[in-house]
Amino acid sequence: MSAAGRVRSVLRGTPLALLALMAASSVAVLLAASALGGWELLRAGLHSPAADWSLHPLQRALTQRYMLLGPLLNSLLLAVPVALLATCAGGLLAWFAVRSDLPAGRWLLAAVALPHIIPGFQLASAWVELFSHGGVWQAVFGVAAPIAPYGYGAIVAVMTLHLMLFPYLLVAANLQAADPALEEAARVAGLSALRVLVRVTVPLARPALAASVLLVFAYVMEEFGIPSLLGTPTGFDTLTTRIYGLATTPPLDLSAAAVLAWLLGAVALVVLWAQLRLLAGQRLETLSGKASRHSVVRLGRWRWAAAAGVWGAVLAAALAPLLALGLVSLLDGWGQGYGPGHWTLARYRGLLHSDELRRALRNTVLLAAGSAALATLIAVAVAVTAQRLRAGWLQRLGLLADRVSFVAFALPGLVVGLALILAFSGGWMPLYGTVWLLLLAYVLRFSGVSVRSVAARLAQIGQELEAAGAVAGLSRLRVLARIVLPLLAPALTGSLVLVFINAVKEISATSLLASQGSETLAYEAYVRFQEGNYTQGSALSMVMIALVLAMLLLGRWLGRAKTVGVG
Amino acid sequence: MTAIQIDHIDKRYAAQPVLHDVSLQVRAGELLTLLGASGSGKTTLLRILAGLERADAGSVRFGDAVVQGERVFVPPQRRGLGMVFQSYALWPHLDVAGNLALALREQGKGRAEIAQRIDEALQTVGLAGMQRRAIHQLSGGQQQRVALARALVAQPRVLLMDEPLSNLDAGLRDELRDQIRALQQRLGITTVFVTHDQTEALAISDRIALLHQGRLVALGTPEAIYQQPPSAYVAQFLGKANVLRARWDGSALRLGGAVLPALVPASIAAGHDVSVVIRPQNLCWADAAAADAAVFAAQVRQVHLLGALREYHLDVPALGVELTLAELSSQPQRGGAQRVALPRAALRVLPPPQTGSAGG
Repeated sequence: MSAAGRVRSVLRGTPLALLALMAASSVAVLLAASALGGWELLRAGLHSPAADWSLHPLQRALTQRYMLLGPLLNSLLLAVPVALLATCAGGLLAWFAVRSDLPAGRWLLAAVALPHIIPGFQLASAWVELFSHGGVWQAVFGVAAPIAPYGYGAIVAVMTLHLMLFPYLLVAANLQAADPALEEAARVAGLSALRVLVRVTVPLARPALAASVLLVFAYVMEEFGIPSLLGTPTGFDTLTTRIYGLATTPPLDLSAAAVLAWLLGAVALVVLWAQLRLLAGQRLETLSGKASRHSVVRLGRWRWAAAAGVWGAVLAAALAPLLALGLVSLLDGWGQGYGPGHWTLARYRGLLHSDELRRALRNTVLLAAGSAALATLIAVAVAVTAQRLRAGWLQRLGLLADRVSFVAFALPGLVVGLALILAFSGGWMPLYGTVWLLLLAYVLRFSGVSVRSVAARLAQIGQELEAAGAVAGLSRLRVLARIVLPLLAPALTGSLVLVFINAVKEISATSLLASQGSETLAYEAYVRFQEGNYTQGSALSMVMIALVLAMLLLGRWLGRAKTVGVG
Repeated sequence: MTAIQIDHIDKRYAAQPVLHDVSLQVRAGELLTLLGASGSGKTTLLRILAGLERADAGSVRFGDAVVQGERVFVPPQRRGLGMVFQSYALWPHLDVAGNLALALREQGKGRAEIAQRIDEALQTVGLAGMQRRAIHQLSGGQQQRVALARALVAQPRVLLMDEPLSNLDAGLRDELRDQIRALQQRLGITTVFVTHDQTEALAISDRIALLHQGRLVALGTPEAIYQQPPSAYVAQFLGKANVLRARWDGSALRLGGAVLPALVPASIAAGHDVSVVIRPQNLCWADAAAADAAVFAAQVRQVHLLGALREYHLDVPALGVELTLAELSSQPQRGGAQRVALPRAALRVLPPPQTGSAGG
């Protein structure tokens, strides 16, 4: 190679080397922050004013009912019924969409996804706007709503609505993958359509149903926004709202909060372990791996009745909250009337004129974009080191980072938030109160999403494709840039979109970590709803929902533009 | 043109030895086939030549340059190779021209030259004008040609091919095999070709290196290695062979009560067991045999028509063995009691097989 050629190739390699360096340091920060946060959380729970190491907080938490046992029972009282309800509802809808001739069945997914796209606390606020005294229901029907706006029942309903998407997706995937011959054999053996459903379809879907129950259970246990807005006013405390109270309401009791966070984290990890066991034990014999033509169950004369019932319920559940938020966001005041005479764009103008809201909008976009980029960078680094290096300390570090990101994703946001407060308020690195701590929180919480999707895609890319690059004269980094990254593109887009959306919606860690200067839209909206300022809260919610939807559509468009097989 | 010198290569995966003390030279401009059953180590040896694996011991030289040695390891991207992979490994995110351009761009070639080289390479493999085709739009045979064009486009010193024909159906396989051979001879490029198919190896190679359980067990031209196999294993791997176990007493070669007419190499000492290899097509019926043939009574047990040839399975009570005889199927079919002849020239006497490596 000539001297000029050598210089050119060094220059060409520079941005890549820089990117690799950034990825490596991001992974290092991720690991260090996890270790530090975990350690501080452990230490705080074993700390009392009298002594550095003490079992006093633990003893207090265990013996005083209001501290731990009460909130834990309340959390379980929510998690169990919501897990079952959401699985039944989501599974049934999935069956209607995949296996029946319900009119417009394939649009059910969009209708089920909408209440999940709306952040939980905003769905809760919409519930209040709909059913509270002087709310939308009363305005439309003229009588007080027969549904409670606050309390246990409201939380169960809103959570079920919010989390139904997971069972829907899991069961639909299972139904699509199942070998149709299994059901056809039952039909041939003389079973009626209904008996086939009960005796064959549902038992075959059992792994998906069990996975749904566990997943929804985990999400309910860590959900903060919904019980905080709907439960706290009636004195219904869950583990998450109790931790939030102990960590934010004076007199602060971070030791007790840490003990509760241990418990919450432990529950999350046990559920994660159970999920992994379930996945590992899943039999593959029910799956044929082919895209198969399924015999559709004809609903017959029930078809239109079913359509009216299913679509009525789903549309009401999906659209009513959105319409309520949209309507309230246009009002000049909450509870003063809904007619066009009360409509104004003042709440949206606030976004442009108020320094605080402008800052929140800017912070949200920058944090979401930043954490999406960093999480994706980390995911590529982790997946490549874990899968493509010969065994060595670097590969082991990659595998460790893979596990850490997975666990951090499973941990409730409040636990991550509390650990970061303990690790970074004061001390040698006082990041508390800055956007940097939020960035760290989002990357910690969501890089697991990126790592999973990138690692899965990388595992599908045949190693001969990379060997061919090396043989053609490409260096390792150039093979990565020219061959691996383009083939990973769908996973990279997916990771960017998912982390962006999750970061925009994030409230549980944000509620602990944000303060003046580091507000996000979600934080501002949450505070407005807490204060009872529904009009401004709704306007902020609408902006967030629009942002999330725009991102989703962008992701879909990018995904469609660049789909390449890797066989 | 570059010769490849392979010296004392050892390779193990964990505790499992894969290659054991393999040494051989690939002459400049020749096509050498690494032939062997699966697990023989042939692909591992090819990947060591490519630099995709590192040998545990031994050295590899391309011309005068050591690419793998005690303290030297040249990574694949600096070996100046072309390689055709078994799966073709065409990059699915690039079109045909994109697949060919990558190596050229890496060498810093200009736009016009790249376009021209791609043009030529595609012409060479008979795919002129296919530049903008996406990989998934190509048939299996076309993908194979693109893989070949990609391997050749950067004018490599050495061409490596890892079972390049195994994913094609039979007719296409023969056609492409002949095209690869013609192209290789035209370009005069040093080529190492891996296959498990002995017909393919016999048809395409200048020389064949046969690997068995990680060792080199035969090396030579197809003609030599087929006609004068160095061991019963090699004889059986390269085609059907009757293998008899006989005893050399210094004056006669004995099996059962009979004496076999054969030339016994001087290297074999008296009182040793030997293997006697006879190709089925070299056996004949007594009525057509030469004078120096030994004749035995035989019973026809089974007859198979194989197309051009007919194959007889014979019981030969005097020898206590079963022999396979093949003759042109245009001859009238025989049955029942017959007399089979073992011509002196058809018997090849080999040293006794080492324990454990006999059979195929």
